[in-house]
Amino acid sequence: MNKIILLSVVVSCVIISGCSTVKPWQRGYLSKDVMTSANDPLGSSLDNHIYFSKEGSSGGGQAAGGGCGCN
Amino acid sequence: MKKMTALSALSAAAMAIPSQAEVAPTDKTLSYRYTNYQEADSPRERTFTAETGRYQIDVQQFGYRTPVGESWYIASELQFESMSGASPTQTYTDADGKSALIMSGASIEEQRVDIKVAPKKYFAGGTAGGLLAMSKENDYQSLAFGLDGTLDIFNKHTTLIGSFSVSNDELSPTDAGLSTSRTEADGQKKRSFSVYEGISQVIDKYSTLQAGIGYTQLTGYLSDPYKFEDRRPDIRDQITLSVQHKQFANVLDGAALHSNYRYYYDDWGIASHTLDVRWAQALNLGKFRLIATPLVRYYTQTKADFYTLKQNPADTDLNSSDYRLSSYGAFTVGFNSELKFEQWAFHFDWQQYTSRESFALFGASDDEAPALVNFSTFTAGVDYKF
Amino acid sequence: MNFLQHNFTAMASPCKFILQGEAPAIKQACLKAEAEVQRIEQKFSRYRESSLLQVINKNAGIRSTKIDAETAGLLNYAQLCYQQSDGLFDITSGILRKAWNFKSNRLPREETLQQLLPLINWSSVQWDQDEILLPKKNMEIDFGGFGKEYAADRAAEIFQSLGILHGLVDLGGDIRIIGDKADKSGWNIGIRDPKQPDSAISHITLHQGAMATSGNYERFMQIESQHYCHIMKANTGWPVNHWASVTILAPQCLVAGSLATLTMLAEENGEAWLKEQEVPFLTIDIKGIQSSNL
Repeated sequence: MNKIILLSVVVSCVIISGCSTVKPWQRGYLSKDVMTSANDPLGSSLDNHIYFSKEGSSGGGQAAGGGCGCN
Repeated sequence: MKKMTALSALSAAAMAIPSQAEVAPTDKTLSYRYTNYQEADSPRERTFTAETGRYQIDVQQFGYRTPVGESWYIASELQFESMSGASPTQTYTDADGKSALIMSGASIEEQRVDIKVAPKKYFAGGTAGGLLAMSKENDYQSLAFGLDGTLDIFNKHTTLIGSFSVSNDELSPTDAGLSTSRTEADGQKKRSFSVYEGISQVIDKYSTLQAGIGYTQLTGYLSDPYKFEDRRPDIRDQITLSVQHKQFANVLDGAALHSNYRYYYDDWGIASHTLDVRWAQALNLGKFRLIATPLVRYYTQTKADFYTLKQNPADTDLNSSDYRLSSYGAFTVGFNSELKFEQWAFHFDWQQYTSRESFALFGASDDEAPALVNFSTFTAGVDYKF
Repeated sequence: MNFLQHNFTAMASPCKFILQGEAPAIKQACLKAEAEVQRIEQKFSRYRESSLLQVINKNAGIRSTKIDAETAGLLNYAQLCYQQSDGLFDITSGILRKAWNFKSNRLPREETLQQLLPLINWSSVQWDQDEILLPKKNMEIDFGGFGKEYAADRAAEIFQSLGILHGLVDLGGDIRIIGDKADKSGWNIGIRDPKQPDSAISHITLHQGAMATSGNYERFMQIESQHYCHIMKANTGWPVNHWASVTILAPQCLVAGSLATLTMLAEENGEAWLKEQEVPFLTIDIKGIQSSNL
């Protein structure tokens, strides 16, 4: 089941990569602050730390990093 | 003259000139955040010990990000945590079939220091970076090292992302003589190895999608030395599949919908789904710009194979009654705000987390888990760019 | 929404960025865009010892020089200009400055020109994606014919990639729009009067794209009522003398500028050629007669 999910993610990425032709000068919206604000580094670092300590799962958008005694 | 007009021939040739290096950020930023984290008391009617108060944590974060030379950028973070309170040591089903929760006795006072440094180099087609992280607290220390990289392909529409990290931790439980589990854990090590591969795609002018897969392996002493009857395997394999979508919306002074889904699976029997949705709304108020972001997160997990509420499981059996390994669901509602003025940005964030056995979407069980935690956090912070 | 203007000097010209939006983001973006203009100037400068162009020119007749993808892209572009102009646009013709000194008010000596002409030969230059070799000693390449326009495009792209939606880049009169004004009313741009370059002979409203002008008034000398300007024909070593100015509109400033220069070089054939190109243009010949499809 997991293999099917993985395969469909990869396949959809490959399909999507053929779809877009955004010129470099059209990228303005993508770097607007509302598009990047959800990644405030200190805020996400703390959120990840809290959820790592208080839930049974961890990880997601990047490799693990350091640990703590909380889990 | 020529068959193709000069305009089209020259335009094509001009487009073919590759655009320059991924430009390294040129800002220096100093940041400070204070966060107060507060857990709700454990339920009085289920708590067998006198203490029902749980953790209260004060966190201070200091961040400094700066360009170095022409194409390097270094991000660093220093974090101080001060924890006090009690935590669950065991939950078991009593003779009446109800769950009894035992909390740790005296309230602990602990300090934790964490430092992270991540340098990154910017190239014509991508980036390469590293991470060094160290943390120390009364009963635990951790050292981690990682490398990451990105590569732009398909004319920068697609970015390949890869990272890996390893960590080496050591336990030194306080009052090691208090129980056999604490004594056993003293000096024990915990290691992790983690990789993440992702792909980020520009879908159109207004949206992007990132998908990735991660794998982590933990080895060593993985049990919780402070809990009773807590014996976990000495290896844990974890997989995550995650998808993140961002969509710009031309509402008021700009807005974006951020959606994040993660599927997690490990060989302890835990499978979880996480969905995090945020709406970042910008509003220009004279010389100020406010970004108000309400957010909702839903989390559901199944229980670990060796999670039981037996009061006295056999000593040779794996076992844990840690609520974090039980089957439950949780909702977070929150509100983040960022107020920008010239080179300053002020942050005020709030989150409320509520977890219940009945919120679980999959693999719900009839067991009560009175140790399930509810907490709220409040953060105030400031950034200065120069 | 506020208008902000950032002025600086680069490529021996007054440069400005005019933008609309929030001040902090704009200030940061101006620094990056100006840095990009300086980067291009320094990389392709004929005046800096350390520039890539100087290294290529010093190695002429001796050895080949390694180049990067950006330089190869620009050489390819120069090659296309050479082909489209049937050899009149030639980036090896920069050495003619050794014969033509506009401050001296004297015409060049014919012997000097005859010595230089054999060194003006783009088709003899050996180059590929990785390196370039100028076969004879004293041969030079010069990106001055399109450096400013290229920099204008790159600066505008940097603004766009940083989320700036309204503004324009103006490097010494070579203009690239970053984005229309917030109220969509377009940017009002003047076209210089060749006889009085400080005033405008015409105005045009641009919402997107670029505008570049090639004129005989930028560097010139007047000797016995004959006008000699800085745009030289590669085959004769003498300047063109049919158009006073050619203004072109195109999506990219680099292309607009090259089409303007190519029209100047085509002299009397330029009119017909320009009409074939299907670009918006405004030409003024040396008699002052305007022709335009704007």
